[in-house]
Amino acid sequence: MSSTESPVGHPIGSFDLSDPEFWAGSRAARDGAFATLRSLDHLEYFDEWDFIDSPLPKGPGYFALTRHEDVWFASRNPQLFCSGHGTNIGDIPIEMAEFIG
Amino acid sequence: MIALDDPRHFRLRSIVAKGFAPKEIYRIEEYVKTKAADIVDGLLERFPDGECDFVEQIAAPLPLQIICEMMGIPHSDQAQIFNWTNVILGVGDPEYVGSFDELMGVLFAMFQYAQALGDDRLANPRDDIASVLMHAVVDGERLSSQEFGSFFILLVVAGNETTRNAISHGMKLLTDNLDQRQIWFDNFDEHSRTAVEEIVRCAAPVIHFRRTATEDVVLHNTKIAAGQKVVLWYNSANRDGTVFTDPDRFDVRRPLTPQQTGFGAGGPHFCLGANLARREISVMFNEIRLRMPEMRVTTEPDYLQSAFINGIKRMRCSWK
Repeated sequence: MSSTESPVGHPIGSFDLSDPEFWAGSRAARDGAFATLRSLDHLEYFDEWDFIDSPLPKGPGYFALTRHEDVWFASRNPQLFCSGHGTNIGDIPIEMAEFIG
Repeated sequence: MIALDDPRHFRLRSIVAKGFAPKEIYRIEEYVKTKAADIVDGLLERFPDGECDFVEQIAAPLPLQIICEMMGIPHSDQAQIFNWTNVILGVGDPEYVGSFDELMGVLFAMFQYAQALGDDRLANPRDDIASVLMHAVVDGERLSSQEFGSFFILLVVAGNETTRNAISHGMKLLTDNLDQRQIWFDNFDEHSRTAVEEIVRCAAPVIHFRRTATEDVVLHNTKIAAGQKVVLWYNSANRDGTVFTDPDRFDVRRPLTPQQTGFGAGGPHFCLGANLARREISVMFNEIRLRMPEMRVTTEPDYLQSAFINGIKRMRCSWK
């Protein structure tokens, strides 16, 4: 883990967590983007990706929890942040949810 | 089960937790040692040049064989299970992904396979965890074979791919950080607990899960409305410099608190197999340390293209 980048190099608007290309890109750029998100004084909102061959409608988007404190809080307060509406970003179809349980 | 809330989640988890009770884990742990030793035996015999693909030959077989052993799955079916899991978790990566129909087909085939397994163990119990799960009774209820099928998919996906990737990332980290490797390998038992946790922290094998707000709530100065989604980025939480000192550094002696989030950040869905995974990782590296001390990664990892699974598809290694 030698990739320490200043958040300055990855300002909001220069990356999109929902873009598959973001996850194909360099690990350093990825780390820099998350460092930027952690440095914000608010939660950033991301649109969901419009997958071309997906039979599912594009979802409404999500807030990105990137700080340890926020991930910790959401995970430990299931009465506020539930799992029953799905645990992947896109809403999966009912027939698939049945298999995954 | 990961997409359920209490009380139904709690009921199911209480049943499957019986498969992870100390007695079962102890039995499996013995098997982990045997399996890891078998893997190294095979490598020394089949690769006299001392080179192979680390993922295919070392990281992948161990967790898959452990799960198959837990479930009492015959060896002849293991390759099929392996291929199924690749399709499911490769979603997003152009090399693996087929059509949506293919994915549904694989899920259905795997579900049917597991359902048949569950039905069989209900009728003909054996000495395996599948039988324990099918016969466990909690509050007068037991798993249906459909619930067993769903749990099986979760186990094969969550317990197989993630541990494989943690072991692969671990080998890469130990190659890139020789000082840390020496510290751990010189006093293996003393540092194993922290070293394994540090591998999982750095690897964050599951990159995220999603939750949905049940009511309007304010988090980090931000209003979240009931019904809106939040995504928990475990990779990022694990690199939070306000919590972890020098977070980009791989430190096999890093304190266990604050807790890293590679198994989840606590709460009802915390990784059920965390202790088994920790065991698999430490046993595999102990075997490597003792019998292939020169083991190192020799190529850049070929990473899975995924926002969900921090996967390594291929990575050459050498021990000569």
